[in-house]
Amino acid sequence: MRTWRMTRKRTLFMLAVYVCLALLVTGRVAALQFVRGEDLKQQAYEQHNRGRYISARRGTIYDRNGVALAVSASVETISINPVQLKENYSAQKISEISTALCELAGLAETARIKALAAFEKNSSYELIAPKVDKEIGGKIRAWIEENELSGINVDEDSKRFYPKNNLAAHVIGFTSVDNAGLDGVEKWMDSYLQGTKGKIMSEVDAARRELPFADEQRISPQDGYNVYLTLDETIQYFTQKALENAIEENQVLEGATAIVMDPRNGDILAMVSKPDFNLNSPWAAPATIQDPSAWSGTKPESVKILQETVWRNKAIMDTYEPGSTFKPITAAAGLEEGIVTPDTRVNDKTIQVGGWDINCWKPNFHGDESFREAVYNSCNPVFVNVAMALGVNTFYKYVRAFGFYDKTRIPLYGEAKSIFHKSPTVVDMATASFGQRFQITPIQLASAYCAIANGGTLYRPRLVSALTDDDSNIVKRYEPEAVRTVMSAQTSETLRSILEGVVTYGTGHNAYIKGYRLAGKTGTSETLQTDSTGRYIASFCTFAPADNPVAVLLVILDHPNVYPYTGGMLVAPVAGKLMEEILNYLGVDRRYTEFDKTMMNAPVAVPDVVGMTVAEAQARLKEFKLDFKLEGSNTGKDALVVSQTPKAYMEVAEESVIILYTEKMEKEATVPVPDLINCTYDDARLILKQVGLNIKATGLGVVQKQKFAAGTIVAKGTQVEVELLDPNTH
Amino acid sequence: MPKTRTTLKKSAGKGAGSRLSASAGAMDFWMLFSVMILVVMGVTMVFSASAPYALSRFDDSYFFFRNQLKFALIGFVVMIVTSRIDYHIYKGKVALWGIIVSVILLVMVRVPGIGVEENGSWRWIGLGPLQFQPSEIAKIALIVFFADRLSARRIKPTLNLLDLLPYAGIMILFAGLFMIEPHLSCTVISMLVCLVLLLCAGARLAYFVVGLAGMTGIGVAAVSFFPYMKDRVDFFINPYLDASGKGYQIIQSMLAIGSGGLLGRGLGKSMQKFLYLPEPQNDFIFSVLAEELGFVGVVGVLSVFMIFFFRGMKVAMQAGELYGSLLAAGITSLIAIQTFLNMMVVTKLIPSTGVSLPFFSAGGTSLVILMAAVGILLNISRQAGAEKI
Repeated sequence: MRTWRMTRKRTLFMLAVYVCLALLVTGRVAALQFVRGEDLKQQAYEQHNRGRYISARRGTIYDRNGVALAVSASVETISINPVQLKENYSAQKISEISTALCELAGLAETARIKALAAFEKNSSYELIAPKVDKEIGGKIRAWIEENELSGINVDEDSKRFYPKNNLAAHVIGFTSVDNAGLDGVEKWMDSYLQGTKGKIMSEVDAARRELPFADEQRISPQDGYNVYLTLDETIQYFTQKALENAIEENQVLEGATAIVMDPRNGDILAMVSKPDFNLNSPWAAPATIQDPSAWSGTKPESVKILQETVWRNKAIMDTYEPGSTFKPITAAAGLEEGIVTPDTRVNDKTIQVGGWDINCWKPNFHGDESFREAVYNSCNPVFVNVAMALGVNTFYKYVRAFGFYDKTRIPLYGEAKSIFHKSPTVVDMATASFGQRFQITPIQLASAYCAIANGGTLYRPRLVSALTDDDSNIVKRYEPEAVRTVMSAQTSETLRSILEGVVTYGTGHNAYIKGYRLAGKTGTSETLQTDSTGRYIASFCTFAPADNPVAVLLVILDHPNVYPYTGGMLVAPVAGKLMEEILNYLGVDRRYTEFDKTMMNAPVAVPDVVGMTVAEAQARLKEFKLDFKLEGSNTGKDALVVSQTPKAYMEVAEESVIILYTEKMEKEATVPVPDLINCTYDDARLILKQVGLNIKATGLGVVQKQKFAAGTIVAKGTQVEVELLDPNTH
Repeated sequence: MPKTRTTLKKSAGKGAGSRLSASAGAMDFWMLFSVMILVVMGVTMVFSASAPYALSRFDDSYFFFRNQLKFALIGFVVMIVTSRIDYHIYKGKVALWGIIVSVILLVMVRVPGIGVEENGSWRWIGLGPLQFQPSEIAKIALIVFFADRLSARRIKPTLNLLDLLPYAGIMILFAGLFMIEPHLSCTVISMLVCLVLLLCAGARLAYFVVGLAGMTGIGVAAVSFFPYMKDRVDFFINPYLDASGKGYQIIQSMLAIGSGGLLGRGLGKSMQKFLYLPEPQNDFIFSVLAEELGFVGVVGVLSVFMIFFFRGMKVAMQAGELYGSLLAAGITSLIAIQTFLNMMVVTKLIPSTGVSLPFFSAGGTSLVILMAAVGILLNISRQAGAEKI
């Protein structure tokens, strides 16, 4: 009986165990259904509903004037449902359908083989032809309707197109096949540009077949917003062209970059990085690849090459040693702290810091000079002395204030972090004072120059100004962002006048543009990589007009292979001419200074003297300070002028010669162009005038290049363009 | 505890009195009622869950439904028959022969031509049109044999190690036979039922503590030794490791249960049965039920099961004699253990193994044998006069 009693007890115990298990299962089901219910339901929904997506139209990217830089064209994507086809049609019929479809879609051989294989697959979605023209899509639609086919889909899609090809490639960026931004603004603003995909939903089983009686549901796509950039397409174009020419002329080996900013608000007007790529084929082989036929751009190793070369935006991703272009920062600190004034007497004799000799680039020094002149001459010891007087703390306070320790937060991915002294010593400071032994990004320097140019405010570089919707309503505005004030307006003004002098009288000489009052500073630095001795980075940073700057321009050439590698020799002329184009385009008036007038003949428009007598013409030309020369047998005072060279309204320099023809000539009078190389401006002008030619000069110094080579036969009166360059600059 | 003692005497007396006639008393109404509800719901769920799979596989939505209905009717008849057979006739020689026949059948399963291979397992015997799983019969045979032998010992109240040795031998023999099929879930279920019987028969509790520790050890060893067991554990912990492969079933099961909510999608409206759940009419029928009928449906079905288990265990306690008591507890526990294992697998409380849900999962022999076993249970209830209507 004891056994029996125990059996009853233990049976009861087992029943209790079963009750516990029932409660456990109930609790678990409750947890799955109520706690994780929403999540599981969503997962289930996603697998039950097969969606064919309808792409939203990706927003357009415009420049500041509304020029389209990236647009989305409406295209169609052809796909099939192989399972559905196999259910509905015989193998024979499917083979007919596939052949006809490939024909209609106009597929090339390889695509055709892939498409035919797709028909064999056991899936519900196979891509046949992505992004085909609307016309092809329409033909396929008609064919489907005509033959009452099912299992073939023609869906709206969009394709990115970049009308300007390489222009501003790094800034604009590009997208993947499924319209996701991969680089540049396309990536940064992706969430706005993308919009929301629409969907055609249908319920399917695990074999991805549509369920009987299931409804098809259509959710319309929501188009993306349009993005307005601060870039100016024209300035971008000028800058790109100028850089391309500079690279070719100076045999630049490692690429180049240029940034144009509006100092008044930090707007990026242009940003060029070379080498670049065509946005319409970003995966194409870069020019440096030996065997382009073996290239496949989508392989990881290829992408790595692309990222290191053509996709690399040197303006924000590269760090470099700025060299003397950094000196204005030291000068700003010295002026702001009252260490120096422009007229303080300084000396550039060699000094010693921490056992290191620091001397001026000029072998026998400039000697005693004013601080202003020291900047013109870019004397390193003078800047070291200023920094020493400031002290480490104060000097680096300014370096930080100018933003050299922070990223500029330009709205682009991949901005590099500068390499600046963490806990600087006196020696660090001494070398930093003239721009060496640290690395910054070009965009940091350009931003700092904006602060110098605009009265002392550091701005965050602005690249996107506004978003608009389909109806051109502004959805969002991006205002300029002032980061901080780095110096007083007074200091800014003083520094601008000094930097203007650098271009007018100093090492920036070759950037001189009459009437536009450029200010700036040159820079030359050897790269720090030990394996590439003799690799220089030549740069020039300029802004204009010096008294009211509207543009800041930084040009950097990485490893030019033409001696001398200096910013003053190689970059200043490029930057000067580019700035001239930009200011011209922006409609900035030329204001000729007294200096301009002593150095150059002022320009004048040629008056129309055709039809006048020679005497009348002579008087008229004299009014305009122009000379003349007669051509033709009739040289009498009352002979009528039948034609003139240069023609009326052309702009020439004062004292130019106008050739007056008193009879109709079969051919214009011609003359060989004399050799002008190494002549000064005045010499060149006189030599040309003697043979009846006119001069059109740019730059200061001696003739470096002339438009027509010596000996070329040209018409008399022709303007011969010459480029002057100061060979004694740094 | 004077009250308990009186009840004991009373029921013992009743049992002894009613043993003369197998059909003397009335059947336990609640037990019969709960089983009938479970079978009806089971057939309905088989129809709902299997229709898309049947249509896709056999081009006939009713394929499984028709089969299940047929076997449910056969099962009903069998149940009535067994409920009228005095359960004492299974004692002694019959019990012994049950074991011998089971062993022979389990060996024959591996004989090509007689045994049928499916997915790498030898579980079926096919004799012309008749196909059945010997393991289903073996489970019942084990219960009957254990109940018979254990009830034959009345001298000592507790079973000592030496007494247990023969039982352990039988268990090891059957475990071995099941494992060579291989059929893990059947091994686990039948061994658990045997342990329940040993427990109820009065084996020392200390053995169970030691046994539990030993089982844990064996379990760990098995997991590290058999790669297919290790896989199961890995994918139990994180089924998303291979969401479209080894983790697929359990993920799909949870998606089904999770999307049920309070009231479910409605009968017949499961989405997961559309080939997402593999063979939704079998092991994962509970998931489809949870999806279609929601939490309310799950609690309802569990309640009916609990009524059945409660009545079954009550019959065991009131059987009035050890043999009937152990037999009732064994049959009830067999169904209970299988039920809970199935539910715990599909809700991912334990690693996945193929356990069917009694009365619900599609399968002819299983249903008929289950109902035959319920018939035996009903017969015990009659003789115990557990609850008269």
